[in-house]
Amino acid sequence: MWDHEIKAMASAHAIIAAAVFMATVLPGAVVRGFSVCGTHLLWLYSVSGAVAAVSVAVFWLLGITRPTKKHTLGYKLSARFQQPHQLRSRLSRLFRSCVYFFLSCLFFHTVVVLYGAPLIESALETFSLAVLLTSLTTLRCLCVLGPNVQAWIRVFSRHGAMSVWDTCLQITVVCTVVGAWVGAFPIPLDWDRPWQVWPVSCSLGATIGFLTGLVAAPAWIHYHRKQLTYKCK
Amino acid sequence: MLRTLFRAGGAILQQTQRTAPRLWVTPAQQRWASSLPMNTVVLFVPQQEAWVVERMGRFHRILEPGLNFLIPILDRVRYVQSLKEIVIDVPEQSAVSLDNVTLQIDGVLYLRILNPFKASYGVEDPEYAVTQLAQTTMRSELGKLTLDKVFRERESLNSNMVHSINQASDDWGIRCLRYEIKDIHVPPRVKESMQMQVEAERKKRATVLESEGTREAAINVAEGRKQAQILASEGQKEEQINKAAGEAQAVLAKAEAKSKAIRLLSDALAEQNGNAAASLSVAEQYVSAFSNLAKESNTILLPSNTGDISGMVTQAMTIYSTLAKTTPRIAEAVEEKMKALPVLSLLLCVCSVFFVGIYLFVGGFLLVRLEVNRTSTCGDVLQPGGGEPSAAAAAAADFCRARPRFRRAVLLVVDALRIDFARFDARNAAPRPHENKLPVLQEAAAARPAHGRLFPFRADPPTTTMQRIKGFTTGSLPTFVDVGNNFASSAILEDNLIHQFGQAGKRVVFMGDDTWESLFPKKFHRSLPFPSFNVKDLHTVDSGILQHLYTTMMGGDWDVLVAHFLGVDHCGHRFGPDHPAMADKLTQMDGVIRAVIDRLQNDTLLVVMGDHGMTDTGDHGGESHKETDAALFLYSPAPLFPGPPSQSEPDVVPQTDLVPSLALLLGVPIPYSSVGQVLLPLFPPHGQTDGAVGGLSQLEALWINAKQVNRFLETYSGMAKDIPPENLSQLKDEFSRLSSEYLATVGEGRPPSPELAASLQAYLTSVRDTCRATWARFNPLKMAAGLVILAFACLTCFILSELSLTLIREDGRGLKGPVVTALAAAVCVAAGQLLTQGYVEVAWCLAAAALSSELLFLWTAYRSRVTAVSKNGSKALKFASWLTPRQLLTPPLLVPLLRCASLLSDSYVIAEGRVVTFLLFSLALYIPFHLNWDGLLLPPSHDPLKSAGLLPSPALSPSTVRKESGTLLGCVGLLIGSLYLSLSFHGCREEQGACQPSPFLSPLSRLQDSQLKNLHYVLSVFSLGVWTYLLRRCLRHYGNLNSSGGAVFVARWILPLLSVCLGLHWAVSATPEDSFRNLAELISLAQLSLPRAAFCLLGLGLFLIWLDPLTVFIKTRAAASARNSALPPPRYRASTGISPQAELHHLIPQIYQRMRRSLDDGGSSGELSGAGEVDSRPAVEAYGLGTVYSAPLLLFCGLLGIGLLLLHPEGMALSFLLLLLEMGALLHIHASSTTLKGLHGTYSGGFKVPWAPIVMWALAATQFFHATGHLPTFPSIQWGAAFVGFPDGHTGTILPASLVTLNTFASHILFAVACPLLLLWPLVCEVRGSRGGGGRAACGDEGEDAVMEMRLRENPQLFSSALLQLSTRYLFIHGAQVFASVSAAAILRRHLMVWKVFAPKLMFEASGFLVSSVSLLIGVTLVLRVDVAVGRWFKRIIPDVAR
Repeated sequence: MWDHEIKAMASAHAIIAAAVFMATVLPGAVVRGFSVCGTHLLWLYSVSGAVAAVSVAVFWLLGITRPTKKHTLGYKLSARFQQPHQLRSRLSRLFRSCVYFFLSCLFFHTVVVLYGAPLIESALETFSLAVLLTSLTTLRCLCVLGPNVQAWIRVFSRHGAMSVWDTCLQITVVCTVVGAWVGAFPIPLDWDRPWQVWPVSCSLGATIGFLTGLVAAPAWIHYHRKQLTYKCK
Repeated sequence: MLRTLFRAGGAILQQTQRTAPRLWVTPAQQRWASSLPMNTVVLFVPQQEAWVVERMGRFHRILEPGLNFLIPILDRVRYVQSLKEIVIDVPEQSAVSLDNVTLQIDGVLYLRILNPFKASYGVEDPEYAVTQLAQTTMRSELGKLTLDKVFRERESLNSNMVHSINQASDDWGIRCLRYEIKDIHVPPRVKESMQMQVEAERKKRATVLESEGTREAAINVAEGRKQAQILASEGQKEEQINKAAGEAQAVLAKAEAKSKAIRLLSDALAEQNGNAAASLSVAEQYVSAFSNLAKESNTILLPSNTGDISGMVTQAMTIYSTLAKTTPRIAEAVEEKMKALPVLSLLLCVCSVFFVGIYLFVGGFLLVRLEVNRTSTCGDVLQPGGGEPSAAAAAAADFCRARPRFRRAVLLVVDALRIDFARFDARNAAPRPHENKLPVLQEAAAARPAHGRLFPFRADPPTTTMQRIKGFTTGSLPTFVDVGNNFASSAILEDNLIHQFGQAGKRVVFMGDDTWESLFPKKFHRSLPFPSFNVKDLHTVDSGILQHLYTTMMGGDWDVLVAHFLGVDHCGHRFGPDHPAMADKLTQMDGVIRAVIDRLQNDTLLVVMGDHGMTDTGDHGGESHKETDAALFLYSPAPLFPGPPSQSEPDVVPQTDLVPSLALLLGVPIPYSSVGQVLLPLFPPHGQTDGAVGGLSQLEALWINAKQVNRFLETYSGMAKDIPPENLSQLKDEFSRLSSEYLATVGEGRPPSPELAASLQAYLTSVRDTCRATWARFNPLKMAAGLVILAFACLTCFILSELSLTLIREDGRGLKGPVVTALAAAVCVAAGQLLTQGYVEVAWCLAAAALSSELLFLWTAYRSRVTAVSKNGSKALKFASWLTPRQLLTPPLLVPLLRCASLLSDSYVIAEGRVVTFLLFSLALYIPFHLNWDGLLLPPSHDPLKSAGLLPSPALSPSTVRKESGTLLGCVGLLIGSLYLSLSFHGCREEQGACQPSPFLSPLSRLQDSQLKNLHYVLSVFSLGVWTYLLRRCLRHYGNLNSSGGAVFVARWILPLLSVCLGLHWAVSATPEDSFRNLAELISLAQLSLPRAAFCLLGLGLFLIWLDPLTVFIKTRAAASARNSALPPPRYRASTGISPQAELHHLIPQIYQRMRRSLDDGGSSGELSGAGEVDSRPAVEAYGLGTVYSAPLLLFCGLLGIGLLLLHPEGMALSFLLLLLEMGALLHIHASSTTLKGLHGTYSGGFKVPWAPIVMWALAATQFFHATGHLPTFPSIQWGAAFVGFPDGHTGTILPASLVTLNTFASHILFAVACPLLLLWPLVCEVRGSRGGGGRAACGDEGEDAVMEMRLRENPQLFSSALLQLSTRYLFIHGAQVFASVSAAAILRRHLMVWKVFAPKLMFEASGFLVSSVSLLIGVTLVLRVDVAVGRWFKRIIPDVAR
């Protein structure tokens, strides 16, 4: 029944993963001496920018944002251009999404600092990590659920998922956060490797966790599609 | 895969193409194209159009949308058909209906071309044809219907039309999809008549309605009358029934009252002299009955035997006696008691098994030795004994002052110089980087064999630099823990070479590894230490030495020069021996040795040696040959060896042997504790002394050596008992035999036999071997046994926590088997040892006992599981589910697993404080997320599925849930905040390079800036005040401060007094010494007395709490109206049962309820309120009954906390406040999550505490160990704690040691003692109705009352099992940590950091466990003590109040 959606999800994820890959490889051609560890912040920005752009585009095209309405693009397009008063509400949604994005960056920054990151010394690095985490997690929430915190809280409960996309959101977000968490493990080790420098291991962990989530989510949904039942609201 | 996307993308393309390209492909936008497209060979046919092509005038084909090719000229596009739906207006026309009304009607027709071929060739003008068809059809269809039907059946009309049109139009390739009638116009006349018809209809309906209203009204009136009559009669009926019931209840109540009276009486009868009293009362009643009879009537019925009162009394007494026999039995049967004994004994067993495991492992791993703090002097070594004035004695008496063989010595210590680094093999054509790099030794030895020689130099494990330096300066076998009387500094206090050099007036100059500086502080004439810690730095130390070495040698102000090079060792640690860097380093050393040899003078001895070797990976610390075998090269410009190398020379020189040899060569006494043996090749044989430079002969040297060793052995065996006694006596006998033989030889002046020297040598060797066997060896067997026992103990603990309920049910009977087995095993092993070895080693008996009992317990648990599985499936399933990986890998258990794993890495141990905080933080964040995941954090949305009854939630109001969630989140925030703040109280290890220890860690008196000092002081006093206030506030809130018992006295007076004492003490100890000179006496007095007073207050407080832990205040109110002469029974429901236990069950909720009510009335102040009950019955009000268990525990912890704070630096008060806040936050998080689970009806029942809060509790204990400035290293122990209240030091060691222990493990103690609070707190914070589903209907019919901790008294069995489970789980987590650190020490015993990181960590973890378990036992015992007191209290109160 959901074969169609699972395929759509898999292809969308393939595109996002490809974007991450390209964001790692391509800047090397432009910027001299670009490397993941060496010019870490640059890599971090390029990855988060790429993921943000690609996921916004993909989710916008797929039309996940409004699960109650028809999924056809024609409908959306016509609705978008024909009714100017909807345009205004759309703009306010966009504005709120931006505000939420920024707030989420601050939130992640606070959490990371509370977890033990230096408060003042490398604030830029910490904030960059927060931006990366936000673009990997919160942005997805924004794309799938819109700027609606209630819905976010609802989605992260056992019976809260209402579509395959919600389940996918759960898996990717949890994988990303756990990846970042695991990424903090090697920091205290005395190996003196370049990737142990703050926040390289955490952002690498988050990215790897995110990629894992991208692969795992369609696979998990595919193998559990018999057990999954969604209630409609 | 990408199809979907492409489809979507394709749609966009289509959309955008739609307007532009169509314009040029088909310029004509008409429906039926008038101008047809040209034949341009390549043609693009738009979507939904069909172009009919004729080839040479004949129909050829129809072009599909898309790209098409046509042959020019021959082909021609003849028709263009649009396949889209077409809308045609059917013009208005008139038709006549069946009832001859003329109607004007029009419509819309929706068509579509299905077959372009037919549409092109079947009809000339499809549109016209269809329109006509529609018109005619409509007319004919209308003719079939009447006017009314036309309006009503538009739909059917439409469908009929479509049907009939389709029949005709099939041949034209057109399909009619819909026909819609647009409008129907009726002639005006007809319209009017229709209006009138409608009006009439309305009028009719109005009349009918009116009449119906009248009818209804009449019926209603009649009904009302009928109902009224019925109700009246029912009322009468009810009244009569109620009266009857009332009477019946009255009869019942009377009967019950009587039964109680009888029981009371029987109770009274059971007492002493009860019988007599009963007879008296019976007799009285008898007489009074008769007197009444006499008063009321004039006829008296007398029994047959009026006078025989005694007979009647006897008869009555037999009845009483039978009653008296039965009642106590009933009471016993019903009474359920708290099972204190099984709980405590089980806990004790578990703890003791852990202790045995730790003891065994530590006994095998940590080598312990007592230090002998005596020093040799010139006199006591060289007296040949016996006081005989012999020639040798006379010659040797002033040996100290005599000219020694060498005046000066140069000691070049090359760290980790393995023996094969120093050997030179000329045949080796392709030497590896570490081979053949020190040719100078070989050259020197070969060129002048009498001047230099190379020996293998064997170190004793542990092969670490500090232990080795100790070893080759004291001549002893240093172990990891050298128990001395001052364990605060690492300085060597045993007698050693450096000390002896100093005593003999020699100037010792030192340069190199700074370990020497800490080992011999202020012993050197001059010293140039360099930092040794950074293993990666290969050159700093060596180049530092080389800068000064040669100039110092050329200068004159030295006698002994020690230079310790570290480069080789660091190179090994960093690169391993097989690395070019090692070759460079060794070549450098070669150059150094050459240069030193060139600068030597005749009276100077050169010693080049390594302190230990290294493994092939460059590590050391263990006992493999590569680690122990170092090189020793002795050289002197003067002839050093009297003879050439002979067969009798030792293959290997033990490191201890260097000490006596050097001492005798340089003319100083051998250090007292040395067990070394002189190097015989260095001394001339007897009789050749004259030829040599002068000095001792072999035999004399051996004799002095043997005498010194014997003296040490005697002293040591007097102090410690760890040398086996039979070995000791054997050695003593041997020495006395040799002694007499030697004295005889010397006395007679005859040349000594070579056997004597050999046997003296043998004696010295055997002494050293004995000592080594005692001190310097890991005992792998013991280590393995300890590990196994600890592993099994952890497993046992875990299973015990899961089986706690079963164990409590069977009353701890499962315990007997293991204990008996343990005793039996211990006795067996002891007997076996006695038989085979002749003595008993306690460790092995304990090991056997522990292991056997563990195995038996595990076996029984396994068996019971198997039988349970075979018996019944469902229960066994639940039972067996705890060992599945899915159950074990939940985050609450994953976190301790990570924590244990982190103990295996030195980096994580070094950063332990951060690691634990990190894990605790993660778990704290996990809890709300998990609750949200279960849907418990938010009130459930009101969707129809749930309200239909899927979730039975009795008292689920969204506001309650929201409030609880708010509390939970707030507490998580508080927890996280205090965790973050607590990071700033950490100390620093020396391994953490850039780390600043917390400024709060230094005592106030060390602060220079007075403003800062004041700020710190104010902060500390403030947090102390907050601590006290919070405790009192909490107790008062729950009404525990009203009574006058011991505990309340403590809370009211001792607690504040203690804080005041502490504040004053801080103030006094912070005063600078020089100010207030005239008050110096007073200050010193205060420094002594204030902490002692605090100690006394603390002891008194703890004792009072223990003595009278109840904090319940009872108020019994007398009847309000005195007019009723007879007291009506108190408002208290009589139970159906007769047992006092049943009464208790009803009384407790009531007492509590009243308490709550009056508290509500009087506000939170806890003041009594007069307007409690309106009725005139006496009431019982008990304040603080709901928190009767937790209040004393809380108070105990609070008091203890202040006491422990006394032992800390002042700044730690802030950290302690954070600790209290964190404790509270943890408790509230646990309570709120339990309540939330209860509110949603998913509460599992019982008082079980889940893993997550316990894990957090245990982690918090470790975390605050760090946050109070402690670290698991010996230098970081806060020794100042030993001098609080004892500024002048102590005489014994027990008191300071316990003070330091209390200081070090303060957080372990506090958290362990407070551990039972985890069980109690959810009850304290319980919300009404949250546990409604639990099946506890004991509250009776007044509904669900919150009875807080009284629930525990209602279910003593569940209470004890939950207490046991909680304690075992807590012990399990700590035990697992101990096991992990023990494993780390065992696995990594070769690690570079083992003596710096892992071994101290093991010691701290083990002692932490010890302290924690003892404190946990104290906490549990306190709870049990409270339970006993509560039981007594109820016994006392029930007779007073219930009757």
